[in-house]
Amino acid sequence: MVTGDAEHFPLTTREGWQRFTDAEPAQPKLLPGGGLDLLGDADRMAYEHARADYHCRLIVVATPTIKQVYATGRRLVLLNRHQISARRGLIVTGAAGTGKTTAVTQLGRNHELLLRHRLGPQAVTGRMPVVYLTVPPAATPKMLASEFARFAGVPVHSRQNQADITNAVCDVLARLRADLVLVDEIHNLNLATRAGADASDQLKYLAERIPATFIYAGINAEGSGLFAGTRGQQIAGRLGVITCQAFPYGTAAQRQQWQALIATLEQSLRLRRHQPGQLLRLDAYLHERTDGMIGSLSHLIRGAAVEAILDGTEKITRETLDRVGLDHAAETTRTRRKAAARQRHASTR
Amino acid sequence: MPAPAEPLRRLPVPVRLIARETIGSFLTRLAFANSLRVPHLLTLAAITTDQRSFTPAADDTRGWSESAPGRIAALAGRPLPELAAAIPLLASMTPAGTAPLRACGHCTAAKNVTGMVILRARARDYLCLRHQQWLRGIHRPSLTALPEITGSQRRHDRRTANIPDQDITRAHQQARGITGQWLAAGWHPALTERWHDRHRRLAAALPRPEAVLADVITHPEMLAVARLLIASQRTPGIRPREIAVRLGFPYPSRPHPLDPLQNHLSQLRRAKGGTMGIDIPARLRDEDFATCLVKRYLAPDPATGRARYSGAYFERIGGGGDRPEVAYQFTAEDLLAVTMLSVRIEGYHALHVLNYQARELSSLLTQIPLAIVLQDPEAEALIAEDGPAWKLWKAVRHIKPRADDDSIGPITAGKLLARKRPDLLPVYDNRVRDVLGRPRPDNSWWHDLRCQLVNDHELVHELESVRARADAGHMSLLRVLDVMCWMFSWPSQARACTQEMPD
Repeated sequence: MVTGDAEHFPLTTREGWQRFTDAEPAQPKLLPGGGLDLLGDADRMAYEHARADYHCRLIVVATPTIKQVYATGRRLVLLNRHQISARRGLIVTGAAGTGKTTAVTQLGRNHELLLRHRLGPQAVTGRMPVVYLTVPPAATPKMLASEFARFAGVPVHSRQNQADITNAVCDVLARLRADLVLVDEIHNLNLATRAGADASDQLKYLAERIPATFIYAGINAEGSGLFAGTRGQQIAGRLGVITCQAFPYGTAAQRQQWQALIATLEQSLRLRRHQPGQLLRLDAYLHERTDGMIGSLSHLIRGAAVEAILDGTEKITRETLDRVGLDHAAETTRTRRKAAARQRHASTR
Repeated sequence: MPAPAEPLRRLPVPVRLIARETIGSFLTRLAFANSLRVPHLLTLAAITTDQRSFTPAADDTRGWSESAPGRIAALAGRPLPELAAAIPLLASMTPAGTAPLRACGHCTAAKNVTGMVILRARARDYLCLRHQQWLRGIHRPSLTALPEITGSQRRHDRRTANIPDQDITRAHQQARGITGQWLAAGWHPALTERWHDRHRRLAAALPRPEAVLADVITHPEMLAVARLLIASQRTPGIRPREIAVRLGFPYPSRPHPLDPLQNHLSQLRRAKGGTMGIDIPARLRDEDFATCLVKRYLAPDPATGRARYSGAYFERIGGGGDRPEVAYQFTAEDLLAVTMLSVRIEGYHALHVLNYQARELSSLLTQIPLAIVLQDPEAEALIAEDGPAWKLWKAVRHIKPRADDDSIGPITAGKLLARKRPDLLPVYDNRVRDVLGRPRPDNSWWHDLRCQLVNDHELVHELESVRARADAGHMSLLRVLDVMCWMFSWPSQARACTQEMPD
């Protein structure tokens, strides 16, 4: 039978989203040194692999931004429940790596789990409470409708036009009682172009047709012209904005917040020789490496944990962290900051 | 057409399964629920049926590729065995043998299914017992005003639970024809009155009078007739008197011979070559009474000293038709003898029998041995439809000298043959038919009587006893039975014999 394997479906499909929502990564138990020696080669390899796999996964930390997005999103869903038009939405904006996607996907996941808990698993079998999609580059109205169809699993025929697809999608999503639509990568909409403007209108039309709360996420939405012009004014009139920012490290309170984040990540580590608090002592170094970006921090710690398992040190030290390369943005910022510090140092001497 | 290459995904909106749904109905519902056009869904399922021939009632595998069942299951998001348990086509892959039926709207609505659902109908699916809703046809009246309809259907389902569907279907079709004729021609006043009453009650309860259907008001009786026909199929020898009891509604114990039900039962017997029991009245099984009847038949009139009934001389004229010297040809004495039984053979007819067709008739007579009696095993072949006795009877009955003349006819021909072979071929006429409750036309009389004599030795002994006690040694047993029946058909004779009988 020609059926898709659920493992290969991305998050922007119903099956992928289902897998994401259902995922409950089990935390592997830490075996004491003696217990590990009792394992055979194969069992030992399997154990190591399970731990590495665990650290590869994104450990979600309830940051203040995630909490805010969840609280706002939940409130909007409740407020919009009986709205027949002009439903309010939300834009989660900010620089790359500040946790926008994590925030909106966690909102969606929590919403769906809450619904399952409230109604029972049987009652939600015929429902699709959350829709998650990303705006494709150079998106046109038809492409946007097709993205919705792709998520829902509505087959799209090559000869179907935009109106057909849009109608089918709206009908199906209304039938499945979707009440939260998460649209990521909103910055791909370029309102300066005709196609981008049409796609923006299409998104607005879909928001009218589908009785759901629309949450958008994208890089620097304010600066991309999304709120400019007549269309922008209408969008700005209906959407609230939550800005995701890098974690600051200036005041004592800010440092405390950063340390709490690191402590949470450290608690989730499953390394045999890693002492709690070892990572927390490197908070200044970690901030300097990641520039306060939660995405970079998560990547750095997870990378170091995997590295520690692979080289057998089983603990994260500054050396381990140094060996893990970060994204270009973080590395560039760090280099620039170092150069500035050197210059400052030279000028003061 | 090659199957689409893209991976199949379960369609977002699942549809509930309805037992016995047609594949056309299921796919149509699946397409509508998912805002798809039906041709698009068919393409996804690798079915190349064109849209015109694909309707919700479609229930065959035309245009299906090998992978179609699996693809349908994948699109519906259910395992194929689960689908096949509800959709008969997926289980058997054979088209429906019965007409499709629209499911009860109340039942489907109770399952949160909106829109039309078409089912592969079973023979017994006429109405929804739960919601008292007629299901066949365009108008589907509510049956709340006629509770006996649902009651009869419930009883029918219980009694025919073990009958194969095809037998029930056939019986229902035939029964529907019979009750339809009863209704149209007003065959049975009591039934007609009952149906008119139902019509009035139903019409009063319905907003549209056109929704009152003949099938609805005759339904209980149709089911009863169908059960009788099913029983007749299995045991063709149901006696006419049992019919009224089995039907359970006012039906004459002696129905008109042309009654559609009687007609159908006769055809059934002929088609199956089965036998119908000879329904000899219990009074005739009383030897004293029977002897009295035969004695009275043969006895001369005390006032004149002459024969009371000319038929008493049927065998005696000319010394009998089965004398060896005349046994293989018809003679003028034979023609004269049959007139003793109140039938006439006109001049031209006589010429044909004695002269023009004499050789042909003699040839057939030659093939019927003299010594055979009806109970003998050899008799079976002689009286069969391709046997010489049957051929001879047909040849004589169809003698029609001129265009304006009537043919000799079956009764006269039968009596002529009974004169030639009195031990093999019985006399038959309307009075015998009425007394024995025979159908009309009665093409199995010889065969049925033979079976009765073979199976009922007691009857043979009784006839022999009656013959001996009535001093009727010149008569065959068949003729004794004929005389008993004929005399019994006259109430005055029966009454006289009853009075003569000792208490």
